[in-house]
Amino acid sequence: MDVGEFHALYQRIRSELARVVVGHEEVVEGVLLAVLSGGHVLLEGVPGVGKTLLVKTLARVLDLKFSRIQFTPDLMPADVVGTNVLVQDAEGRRWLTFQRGPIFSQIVLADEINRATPKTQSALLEAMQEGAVTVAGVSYPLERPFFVLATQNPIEMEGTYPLPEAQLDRFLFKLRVPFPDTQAVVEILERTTGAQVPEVQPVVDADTVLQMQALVREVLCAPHVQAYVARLVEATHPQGPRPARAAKRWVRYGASPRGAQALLLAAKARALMRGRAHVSTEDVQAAALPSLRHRLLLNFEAEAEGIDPDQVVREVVEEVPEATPAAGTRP
Amino acid sequence: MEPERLLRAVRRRLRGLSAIRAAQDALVATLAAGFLAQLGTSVVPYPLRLEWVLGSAGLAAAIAAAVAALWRVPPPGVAAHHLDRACGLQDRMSTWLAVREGKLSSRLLDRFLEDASQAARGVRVREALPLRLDRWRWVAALTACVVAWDLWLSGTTLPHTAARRVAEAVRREGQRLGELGRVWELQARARGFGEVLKSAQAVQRMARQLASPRTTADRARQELGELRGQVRSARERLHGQAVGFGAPAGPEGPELEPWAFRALEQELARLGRALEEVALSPEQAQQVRRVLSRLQATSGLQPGSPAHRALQQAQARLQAGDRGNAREAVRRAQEVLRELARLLEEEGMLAAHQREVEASSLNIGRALHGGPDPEAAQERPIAYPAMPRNQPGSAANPEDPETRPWEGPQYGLEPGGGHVTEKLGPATPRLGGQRRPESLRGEVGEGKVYSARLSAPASAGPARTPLVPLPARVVRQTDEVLRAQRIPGPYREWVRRYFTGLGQPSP
Repeated sequence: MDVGEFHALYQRIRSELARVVVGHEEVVEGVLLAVLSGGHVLLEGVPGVGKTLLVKTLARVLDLKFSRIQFTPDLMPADVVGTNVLVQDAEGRRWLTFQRGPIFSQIVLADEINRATPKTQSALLEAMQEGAVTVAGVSYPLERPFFVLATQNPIEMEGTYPLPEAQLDRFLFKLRVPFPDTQAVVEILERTTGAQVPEVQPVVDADTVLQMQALVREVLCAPHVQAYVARLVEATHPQGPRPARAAKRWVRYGASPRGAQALLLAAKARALMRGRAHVSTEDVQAAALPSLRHRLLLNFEAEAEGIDPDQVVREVVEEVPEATPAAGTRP
Repeated sequence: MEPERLLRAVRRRLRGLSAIRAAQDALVATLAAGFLAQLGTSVVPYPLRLEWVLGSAGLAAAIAAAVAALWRVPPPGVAAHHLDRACGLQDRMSTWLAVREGKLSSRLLDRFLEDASQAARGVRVREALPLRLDRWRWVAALTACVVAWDLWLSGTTLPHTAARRVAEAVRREGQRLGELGRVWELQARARGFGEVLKSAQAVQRMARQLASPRTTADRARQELGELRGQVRSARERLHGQAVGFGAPAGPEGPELEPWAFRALEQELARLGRALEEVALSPEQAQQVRRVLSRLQATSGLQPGSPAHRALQQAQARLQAGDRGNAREAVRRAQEVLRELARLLEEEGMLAAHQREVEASSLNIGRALHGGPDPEAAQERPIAYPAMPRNQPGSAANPEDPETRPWEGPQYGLEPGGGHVTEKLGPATPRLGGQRRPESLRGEVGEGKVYSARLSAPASAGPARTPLVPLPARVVRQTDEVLRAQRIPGPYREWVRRYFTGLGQPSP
C-alpha cells in the first residue's frame, strides 16, 4: 500500500460513513484517525447524538466484528472479558472451558463506561493496552485490529465512576460529540424516519486496516517536528523546565509521554489522510486537542473557575513556538 | 527549481530581508529617539538640529543593514522553515533537509522526495518572500513628526523650565539687537555709510528671527555666528582700504582712532588756510614746515602712503618757497585723511555691530549652559584707584583737590586746543569740556560693578556724539551701579548739574 492508495481508501471510508452519519465531521475524522493510528477513543456526548450509530457504522464499513457492552454499576469484569465455566458432557465428565466475553471483538463499544465500577473499568485496561486478556492465568489474545470506543455522558454524573487517570491515558483520543445543528437534525430526520434507511457497505477489511496502520508508522517525521511534539507535552507540565502560562496556572499534572506518542501517531495518520508522506507542524497542532485534553489533570483552582481542559490545550499550542530545524525555535 | 537551489536562493533572499528589517528597526528606533529628544528640548535646553536626527537615523539604518547582511546569514534550517511558512509547504522543505542530512529513512522516502521536488518547483522565491517595507508607516509617521516639530513646533517650551528661561533669553537678545539695529540704520543713513547700513539691516533681520518663538537657542547661535562672520568680512574690507590709505595696521585693526585722523585733517585745514591767506615770512614758513613735520611724525601714517607722501611734498615745497604747490599738497593730504577717517569710523561702527552680535551669542550661550547672569558676567569690575574716603555728608570744596571732582577730558593734538567744527549728529550740550579727565572717588559698595567706555568730542562746545537710545541693558546696569555705590554729596550735586545742563538748549 502506498500513500495514494491510503488516501483513496480513506476518502471512500469517509464517504461511506457520511451516508449514515450526519454532520460530526470532526468526530468522524477523529475516530478514523484513532482507528488508523491503532488507538482507542473516548466519546463524550449527551445521549442521542449518534455515538453508537457512528461506531456501529464504522464497524460495518471497516468490516470488523462489533460488540457492544452497556456498562452498568452491577457489571462485573467477567461480564466483559469472559469467564471459565464448568462444562459437563454426556458421559458426565466435567471440565472448565473459557467462555469469551464481549471484549473478544474488533470494535468494542463500551457504552456509558463511567457507569461501571472501577474494577470493571480496569478490566478493559489489559485489553486496551496489550490487545489480550488474561483469565485464570491464561492469556487470550484479541483479534487484531482491536479498538475500544467508549462513550460517557458528561451531564449525568450521579451514580457514575469517573475514569481513573491511568485508564484515561490509554485512550488515544477523547472526542466530544456536540449536539448537531439544525440543518444536520433535519437531515437526520429525513434519513431515519423514511421508509428506506440508508445502508452502508464494507469498504475495507481487517487486513487492509492493519496495512493502513502499518503505513501510518512509515510516515516521515522531521526531528524538529518531533521536538515540537515533545515541547508541547513538556509545556503542559507546570513543574517542567518550560511550562506554558496556562499550564502553570491551571494544571496539576500534565500529559504523559504516552500522550506525546498519541499526538505524533495521530499527526502521522492525519498527514496520510491528506496525501502526504511527512508530518507537518499543522498536523501536530490539529491533533493536539483530542490527544491531550483528557491527559491534563487540572488543579483545584481550575475546577473552581470552571476551566475547560480544551482551553488550556489551546493556550499551550498558541504559546509554544514552532520549532525550526536549525535553532529549535522560531527566529 | 530543485530544493537545494531553492534553499540557497531563499537564504540569499532572507539576508536581504534581514538587512531591510534591521534598517527599518534602526530607523524607527533612531527616529523615535530623535523625536523624544525634540520633545525634551521643551524642558531642557540642549542643541538639537533636524539634520542631526535625520542624519543619525540614516546612518543607523545603513550600519544596521550592513551588519545584518554580513553577519546574520540564516542557516539552511531557518531558510527552510521560512519557506515552509511563506509558501504553505507544510514542513516539506524542513523535512527534506532532514532527509538530505540522513536523519530519516522510510519506505515512503521516494514518495516524499518526489512530493518535495514537485512542491519546490512551484515556488517563486520573489513572490514568496517579497522585500516589503512592513514598517514604512512607522518610519513615515516618525519622520513626519520630526520634520513637523522642526518646522512648526521647534522652540516650544514649557513654563518654569530651563528651556523657557533660555528661550526668553533669546527673545531678549532679539529685542536688544532690534533696537540697536534701528539706531544703527538711522546713523548709517545719516552719514552715508553703505556697509554699516547693510550690516544694520542684517542685524535687524537677525533680531526679527531671534524674536520668533520658533527660533531655538542653538539655531540662534548658529545664525549669530554667520552674521558675525559677515560683519567681520565687511570690517576687513574696510580695514584693507584704510591701510591702503595709510592707516597703521595693527593686529587688531588700525591703532589710531578715526577722531585722531579727523583732528589731523582739521589741523591741516587750518594750516592750509594759513598758507592761503597769510603772507608768510621765511621764518613763519619754516615754522609751518616744522608743524607739518611734527604732524607727519605723530600721525602714525605709514611711510609711502598717499597722505604721508602729500605731507612730505608740502614740506619740500615750503622749503623751496613754493607756497602754491605746498598748499595743493596739504589739500591732497587733507582729502586723504578725511577719507581715511571716514573709513575708520565706518569700520569702528561695524566693530560695534560685531561686538554686540558676539555679546548676544555669548549671552545665549551662557543661558544655554546655565551660567551666571550673562549680562553681568561679560563686564569687568571697575579698578578704582586707592583714594581717601569721603566723610559722609561732606560737601564739594572747589579749593580742595581731594574733594573737587576731576574735570572732563581734553582732546586734540594740543591739550585743550582741539575743537570740532563738524557736527555729525544732533548736538548735545556738554559741560566742562576743557577740564581734566573725570573720575569719581568713593568707596566701592556691595553689588555688581560695571564699566563702560564713552567716546566724547575733542573739545569744549557742542558734542558731536549723537544722541542714541541707550540699550535697556546699559540703563539697568547704570541703575544697579547707582543703587549699589555710595556716592558722596559733592559728586551727587555735580552729576545732578550735569544732567540738568543736558536738558537745556545748546548754546
